[in-house]
Amino acid sequence: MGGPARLVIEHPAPNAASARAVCQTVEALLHDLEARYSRYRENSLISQINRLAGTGTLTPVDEETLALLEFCGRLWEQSHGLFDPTAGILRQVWDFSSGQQGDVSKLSDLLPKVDWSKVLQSEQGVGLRDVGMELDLGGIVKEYGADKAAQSLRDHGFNHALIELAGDVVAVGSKTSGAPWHVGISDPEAPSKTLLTIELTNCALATSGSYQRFIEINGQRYSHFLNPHSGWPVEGAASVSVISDSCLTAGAVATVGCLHSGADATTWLEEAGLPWLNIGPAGECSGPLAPQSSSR
Amino acid sequence: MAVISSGQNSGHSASTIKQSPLVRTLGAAVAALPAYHNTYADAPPEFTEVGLRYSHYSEDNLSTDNFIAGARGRYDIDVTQLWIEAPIGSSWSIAVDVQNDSMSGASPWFVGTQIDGQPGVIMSGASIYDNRVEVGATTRYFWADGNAGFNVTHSKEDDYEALALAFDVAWNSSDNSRTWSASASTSNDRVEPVNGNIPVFIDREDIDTASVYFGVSQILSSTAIVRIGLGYTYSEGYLSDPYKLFDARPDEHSRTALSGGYRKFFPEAQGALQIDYRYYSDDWGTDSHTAEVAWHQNFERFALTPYLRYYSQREADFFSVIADLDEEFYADDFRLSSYGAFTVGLRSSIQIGEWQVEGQLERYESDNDWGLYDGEAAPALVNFWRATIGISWRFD
Repeated sequence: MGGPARLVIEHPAPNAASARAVCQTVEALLHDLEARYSRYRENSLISQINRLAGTGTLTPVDEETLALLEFCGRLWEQSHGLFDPTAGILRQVWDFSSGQQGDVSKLSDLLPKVDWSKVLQSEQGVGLRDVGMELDLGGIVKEYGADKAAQSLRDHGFNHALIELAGDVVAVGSKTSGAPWHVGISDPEAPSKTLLTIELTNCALATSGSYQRFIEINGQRYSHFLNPHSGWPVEGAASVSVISDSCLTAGAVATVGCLHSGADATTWLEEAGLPWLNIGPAGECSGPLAPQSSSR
Repeated sequence: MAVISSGQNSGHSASTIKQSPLVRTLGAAVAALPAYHNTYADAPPEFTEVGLRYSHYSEDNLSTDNFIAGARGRYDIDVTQLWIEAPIGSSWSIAVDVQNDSMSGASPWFVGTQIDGQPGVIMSGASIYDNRVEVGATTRYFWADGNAGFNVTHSKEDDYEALALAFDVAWNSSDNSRTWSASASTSNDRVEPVNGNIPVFIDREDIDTASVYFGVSQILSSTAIVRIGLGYTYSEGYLSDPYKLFDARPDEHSRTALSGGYRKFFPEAQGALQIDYRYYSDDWGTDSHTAEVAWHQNFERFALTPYLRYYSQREADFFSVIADLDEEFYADDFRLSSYGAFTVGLRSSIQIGEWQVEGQLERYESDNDWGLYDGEAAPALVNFWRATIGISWRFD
């Protein structure tokens, strides 16, 4: 899922074998999610749906996939289309790995294919209406995977654990001592450094950000978040962190926060009402989680 | 590096996070995903558990004010229980429970009139000794949405033998927020009283009993659950007490009980409030209320549960303090009188590795004046102590 994973379980010594077993269970369920939903895997469910785009053929999907798509639809509505799982094809113009601007003239061809309302869903399955459309659930699957891993731990009786998937964190209960888990939020300017530490018990912290992937055009830094309406990168936050009871919700709110520019991001995050931290392009912090004074 | 100074960076937990309309809208879609179905498929126990429990029950001596003759020392009962529960395969479990009760002491024989005109109790003469052994076996099948169990219990003592069969089933709603449960049982008891310190007037009698129960529990939130249940029991046969001189009860007895409970967990306090209520009514004219409140406090490796229970019942139609032998049915048994009772107790348990040690101490006191219903005071009302200690061991 494009990043390191870490799992910490606190348990009595006699349960070591069970803990090792549940680690394997968690690893297996994350591999399963990647196998089904990665757009990089040819045999994934998502790749199959994408290959059949424009053919009118629907790909049968399971209830979990339908529920994930339902969540995407709800977020698309709530974000007024800013969150759009069909926007992945815009990367054909913007190459974040090289940091170079692509051929923006292609946008006029691509933008009509970026439209969640053209994702066909029925009891028979899921399909994409137009040729060239692509579905990408990368914006939510990692967060969902963290929640699913947490639930698996609880199901197996481990109620004191921490799961971290590439910066998204779920705290299962507290530490066995009753103390909360301490989770750091990275400094976008220096990702190896911790900007601040948050105490979590039985909830999730998700961070969306551009500090690891950005593009500079005429000296202006753009985030890797692409506005699905304009096709251009967003001049948004360096990173947005959100706390919620599920990592999926926290990640969704944080991602849409990054898709907004300036004051619109603040409006969105305040409307969500969850604890949040917005680190702007120049490193300025805002939001309920922001340090009251900083010495960066 | 930052100075961590924001007041909101500490203590984030699910219970402190507010749900805005936007988050609630997203949450409805989140809840449909399998990862958030936070109650679990029914499954057999993962471990084998072996346990031993000892309990001592001791009734206070009868007050000299209410005593006429016999022995004042009332019952002492020692209860020893041994059980084992083990999974069998992925869908079954089996449990065996063996219990031994050793009883000694005197019991009220009948109520007469003292020299001052007040009612007084004539107790059985010397101490009675009896021993009861009960063996029960339960097998249970688990499937994704529920479980069902079948139980056979046999009980034997010098003058009493009972065989009971019970079947119960519980199943969960598709979203796992609601559990329905139902049970049915039947038993056949045989009474063969022995002539000892007091004369008895029957040789051998039978009692047949059948009962049914239906209940539902509903998860209200991640920290609260409520339950309600309705039960009905019918017995027929020799329902009088053969060891009481004046005791003639109907040979049929229908009982109905409505019960409810509420549990609320407070994450910050690591404790849970438990409130239970039960209403009972029967066709002998008795009805009763039982209310209990308890606080279950978790600590890192042990838990303490103080509790307080109140009970009040209305006397049976045929009860009188001194039995009225002119009636078809009569009894002077204090257990059929109007009274109220309080029980206060403390349960505790401590986890040491795979071992769990539990203890409980409770005091029960009853008084005619504490009841909600009118009725003459029975002189033999009982007060008692009960102490329990147990140890159990879990292993793969």
